[in-house]
Amino acid sequence: MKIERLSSKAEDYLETILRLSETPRGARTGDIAEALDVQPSTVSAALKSLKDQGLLDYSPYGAVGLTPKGRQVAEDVSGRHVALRRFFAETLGLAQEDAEVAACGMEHDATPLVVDRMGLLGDFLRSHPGMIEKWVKVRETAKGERAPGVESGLDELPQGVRGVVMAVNVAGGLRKRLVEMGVTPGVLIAVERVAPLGDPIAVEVRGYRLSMRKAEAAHIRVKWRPGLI
Amino acid sequence: MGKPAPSKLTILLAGNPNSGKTSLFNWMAGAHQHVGNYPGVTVEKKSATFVRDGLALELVDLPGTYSLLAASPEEAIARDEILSGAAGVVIQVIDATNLERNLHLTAQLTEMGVPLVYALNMSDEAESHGLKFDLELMAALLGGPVVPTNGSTGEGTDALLAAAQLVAAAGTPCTGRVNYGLDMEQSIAAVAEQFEGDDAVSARRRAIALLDGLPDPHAPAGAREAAGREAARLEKRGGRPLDVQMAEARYGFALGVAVDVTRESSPHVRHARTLRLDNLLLHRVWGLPIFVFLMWGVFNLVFALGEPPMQWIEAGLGWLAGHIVAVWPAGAAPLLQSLVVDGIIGGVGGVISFLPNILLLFLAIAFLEDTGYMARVAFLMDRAMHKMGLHGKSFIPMLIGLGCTVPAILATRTLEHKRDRFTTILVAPFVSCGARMTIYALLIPAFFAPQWRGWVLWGIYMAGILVAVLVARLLRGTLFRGESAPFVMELPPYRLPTWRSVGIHMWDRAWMYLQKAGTVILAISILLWALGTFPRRTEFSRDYAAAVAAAATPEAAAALEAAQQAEALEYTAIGRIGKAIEPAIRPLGFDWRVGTALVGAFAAKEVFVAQMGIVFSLGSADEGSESLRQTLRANYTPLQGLAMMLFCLLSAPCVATIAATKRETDSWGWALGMLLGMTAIAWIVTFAVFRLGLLFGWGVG
Repeated sequence: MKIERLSSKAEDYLETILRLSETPRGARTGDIAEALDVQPSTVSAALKSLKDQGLLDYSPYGAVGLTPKGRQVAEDVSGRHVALRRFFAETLGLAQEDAEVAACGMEHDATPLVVDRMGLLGDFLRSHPGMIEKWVKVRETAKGERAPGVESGLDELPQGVRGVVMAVNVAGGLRKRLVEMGVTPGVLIAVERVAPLGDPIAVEVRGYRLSMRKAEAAHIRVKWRPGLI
Repeated sequence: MGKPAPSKLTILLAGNPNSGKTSLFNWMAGAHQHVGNYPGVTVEKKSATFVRDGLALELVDLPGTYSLLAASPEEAIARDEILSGAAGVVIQVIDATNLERNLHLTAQLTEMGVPLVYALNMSDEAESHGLKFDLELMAALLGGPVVPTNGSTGEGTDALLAAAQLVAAAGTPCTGRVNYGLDMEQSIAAVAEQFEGDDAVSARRRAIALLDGLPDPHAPAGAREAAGREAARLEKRGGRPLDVQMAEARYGFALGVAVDVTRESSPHVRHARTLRLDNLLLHRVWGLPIFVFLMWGVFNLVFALGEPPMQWIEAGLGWLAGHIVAVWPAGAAPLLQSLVVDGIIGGVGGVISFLPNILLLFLAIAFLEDTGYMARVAFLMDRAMHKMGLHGKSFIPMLIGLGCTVPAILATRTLEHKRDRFTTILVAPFVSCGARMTIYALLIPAFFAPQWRGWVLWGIYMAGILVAVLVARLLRGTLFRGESAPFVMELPPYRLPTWRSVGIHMWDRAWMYLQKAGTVILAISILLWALGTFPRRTEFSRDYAAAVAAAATPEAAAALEAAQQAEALEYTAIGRIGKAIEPAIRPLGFDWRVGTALVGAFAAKEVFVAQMGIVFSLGSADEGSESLRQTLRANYTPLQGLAMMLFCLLSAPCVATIAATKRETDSWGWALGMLLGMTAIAWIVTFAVFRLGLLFGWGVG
């Protein structure tokens, strides 16, 4: 089934009108313009278009009301917004403001299935003992390092993330050894595992496995490549 | 034929470590091989001379290297041997499952100006990974024939030798295949121009080496100057060190060839078995318990399984000695009898009683190395060992040291870097070995109450390990100062070794031990026998022969004989040395009798107990001897007992240890340095403990 979707602008209008119409003043053109940060004239034109689509019902200078069809759309959007914001804030642990911005950006594009699965994941983590705590721990140590384009020493490249070698910043025998083993600028590299005692690490490069101490790996600058191996 | 056929063709076998080079060598060399060291370094040289198709061949297995830039002794040797001009042809063994890195070495080999042949080894394994190779294209790209081989079955080795003979007969050297790019090529040409006396190939090779930062003391000043100038220019332009840029170019070549010659690549299944095994063997939780279990297995294999044959050897030698005494004409040449029975048979025993342990140790090491687990041992233990100033691979020698120091020192062969290896050799004897246990077994019950015995024994072992760690750190801070050797090490794929290669590996090492360490041990054992025999006492304080004849009971006769033995020992060189060193050991709480036992114990630590029995006129004693314990209790305080154990723990364990050290460091300087150093450390620690004990009145009652 193809979901017929309005433009994201239209959805924003409907969502704002729904929110404002629940206040005692009702949804008025000036308030809508203020909430959406646009000119009142723009609002008038948009409202007319929505009215033509049978989503709004209003008379000049009166409060704007939603038709049942308009209310349906507005509630859907609002529901997605709330669900997304909740997911971003509670499950992903973003700050309220960041969660709000992210939700506003995604509410129009996320299909109902995506929103549903996100909610399901959050509920799953919370309903299984210990899961959410583990996840919170991982989340808190991650510090946004998986963002694409990050550059770091090879010792800080998380397991399961590929990196591209940018430079081997060490002199003498260690550099010679590293480059002759194939750790040269431009090559793809990944940390395969860390020894049980925490050091050294095993990396995969040029189709084979190489181990080195973390102190040695720190000299190798890598740019993270998003995506799992 | 126009030119006379060479009398002998030298074929060098080059390749990466773990490329299966040595098993190919074993197939080709068969029983003709000879193992020795390259002069001046402890790098093993394996070679074999045999005749094939009417031509005498000398096959030399070069040390496995990843590069020929001479950063390590192995690389320097490989480079020197290839460039020496003696080699008619060089065979590079290429691991087909890891073309890219193996071809990086090829890139360097093609610059050497020697005829090349390639053995594409383990191509069957690569095929099971879904790889196929275009051999013709590969031969064209690499400038030499490519022969598929199989190290576990020996397939292809004959074709390989045939190809090598053919290429050597043609004698066309392979010329540079790597293009370093316009900029670098210009620089190389500019530097090469300065090598006026050299031909084009050699000038290019030397120019590349100079630019790569390899010292060339014979290079003309102009070349060095040009290299410095060009390197600065290229580094500025490339924005990174020149050796990195050159390695990039070589790997560019390697990757290009690898991609071109490989067909139907499906990289997902490559080394899947290794990955699965590593998930278990290097597991965060299970990795270490499995490791401990495997090491326990190695230790037991070496010592528990080695124990019965060791006893058979000792029993056999005992039977032989008894037999000789029995058939010896009574009274005839007693000195010669003593030389044969005590000196030679005792000395031979000192050599070959280690043999079962050593064979089994090398069996275990060969197995660990050939399967690929040895690299994992280093990976698992490096953090702990590195903190002690050692290397992950030092763990096995230290563990084996708990059984016997001699195989422990021989096991340091697995350490690649000289600094790590020498540090491990020099501290391994501090780990208390099994022979020293006999001394503790005698002394601890003699001086300590039952509830303390376990703790004292534990403390002694811990003291040895503590001193080993402190000395290792001290050595790293002084003699072996400098950046620690890189740990950068390949974790090779797991492979099932063939019994053949494990067997040959084991036998080579054991044979070298017998040849090199064995002769030294035998010689010093005979010397110690002489010191314990001469000068001979002819006049005693009383007429023992008459007294024994007149003795009323057998016990009284035995006591008299023991007293005579004690007097004889006191008169010998060892007895005199014991007395002479008394002033030096008195501060430690030892008298001349302990001194005599210590000197004798240098032959083997367990001799200490027997010597103490003789000097106290108790005849032959063992560590369970209650009468000896009573005598000791009457003559020494527990503090003195502890001092004796400490001294035995920390001083050089035995002749065989020194001989093994000489063998593995290839230098009497290190061996004698170890002897002196350990004696000094033992003296200082024992002195400190003894004096502190006296000061606080511990164990003096």
